[in-house]
Amino acid sequence: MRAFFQHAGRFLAWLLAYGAAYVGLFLDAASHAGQLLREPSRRLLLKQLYFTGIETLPLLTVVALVTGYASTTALYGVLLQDMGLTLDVFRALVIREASILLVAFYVLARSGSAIASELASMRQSGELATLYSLGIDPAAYLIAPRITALILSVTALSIYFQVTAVYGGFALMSIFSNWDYMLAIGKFNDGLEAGALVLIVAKTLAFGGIIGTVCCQQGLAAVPGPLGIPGATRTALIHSFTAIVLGNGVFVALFG
Amino acid sequence: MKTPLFQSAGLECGRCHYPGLTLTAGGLAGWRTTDHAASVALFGLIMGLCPPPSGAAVWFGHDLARLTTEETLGLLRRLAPLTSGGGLIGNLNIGDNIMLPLADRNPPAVERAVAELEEILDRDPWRHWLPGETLARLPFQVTHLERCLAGVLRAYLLKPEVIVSCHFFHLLEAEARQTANSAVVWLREARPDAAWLVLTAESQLPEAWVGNILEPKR
Repeated sequence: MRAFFQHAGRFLAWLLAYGAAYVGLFLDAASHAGQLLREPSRRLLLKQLYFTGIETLPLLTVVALVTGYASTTALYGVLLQDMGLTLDVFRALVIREASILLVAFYVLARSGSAIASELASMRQSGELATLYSLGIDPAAYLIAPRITALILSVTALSIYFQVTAVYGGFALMSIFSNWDYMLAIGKFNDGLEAGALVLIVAKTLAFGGIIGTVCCQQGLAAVPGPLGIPGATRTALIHSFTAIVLGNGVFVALFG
Repeated sequence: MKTPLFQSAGLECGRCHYPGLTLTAGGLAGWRTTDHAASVALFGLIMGLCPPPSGAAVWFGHDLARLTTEETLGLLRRLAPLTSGGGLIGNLNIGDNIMLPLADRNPPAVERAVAELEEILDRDPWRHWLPGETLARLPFQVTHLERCLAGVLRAYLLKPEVIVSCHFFHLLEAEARQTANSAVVWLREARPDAAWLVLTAESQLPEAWVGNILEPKR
């Protein structure tokens, strides 16, 4: 029993240390938000928005179409056999939960890993020290634009994913399963609630912030040596993944 | 009137004790290090990257160990580092690397600086040392000498009060070192009021470093 409490205490201390580091970095970046309108942070923000937001679109469109079509097919054809019921479950499961998690994991795998490894590489090659010796605050130049870009990108991509999954997925359903497209869209829109939309946006903002903050923090904290970069990337992915799942659980527990 | 810009009350770097020195406008002073004399750690101490275990680095009358990060960064904006390989950022092209600190601290000055840079690169001997098209390349696409020359141009455009050089000629072949030395002489003539703080290896003491160079004690 004593060993259990010792392990639990150590785990709690570990959790608090990481939590404090992530919150500290996020607040530090937030305090430099004003500089995002100025060069060179502005250019870095636009570059990161392009890499994370725009370059992701082609493949994400395919994933959204397939998700929309496959989930409605499974719900309607295999399980429910009723359009109204199918749309209710689709709205609650796919739109409010799965689509946001999918986009967050997609951005994490694509941009989060790149950010963690890039910052780890910059740290190892002494570029962070170079920035500092030039009088440039790494938090303002490197971190604030990346976290902001991740927050904006995850939010925009989630909305894009949901719109594509609904309109594209229903279009495919109308082709392959004889759904009345306009009727399905009308019924889907009727069931939308303003509160649910606010919750979706809040979740996407939070998940973007989690990915940006955790990946930047792990990149900055990379240890020297050949295992520094892969280690930072792996830890960034695992911590972000866990934090997103836990964060989603907190949202569900608090707001349903 | 020559005022002290940098005072070191002797800095401890673990293996070596670096004797104190004072830097004045237009002057040159520094330390000549030997192998394994922790000179890169010393560079970190005098640039405020970490606090010294003993001794003090005082810039413009302010002890770096007592300043906040913001205050330290404010002081560092009055300096220009000149390090081996130019101290460039890997994901920015050479032109953006040269302009990066200016863009950060004085965006309106960047346009004028770009015009000045183009004018310099069009002149002899710069047109031979660093052809204009080099500006569009990334650091890994150019030679070590070209990266060093980019560092010299960045230091020139910053109009610094102090230029801090750390093993600038490191890794350069004899011919490239000659060119880099000429560029440093050009910088000293172009910015005569800037003080120079030099960290240099015994084997890398060309004619550009003429001044008060001290030996560390082991």
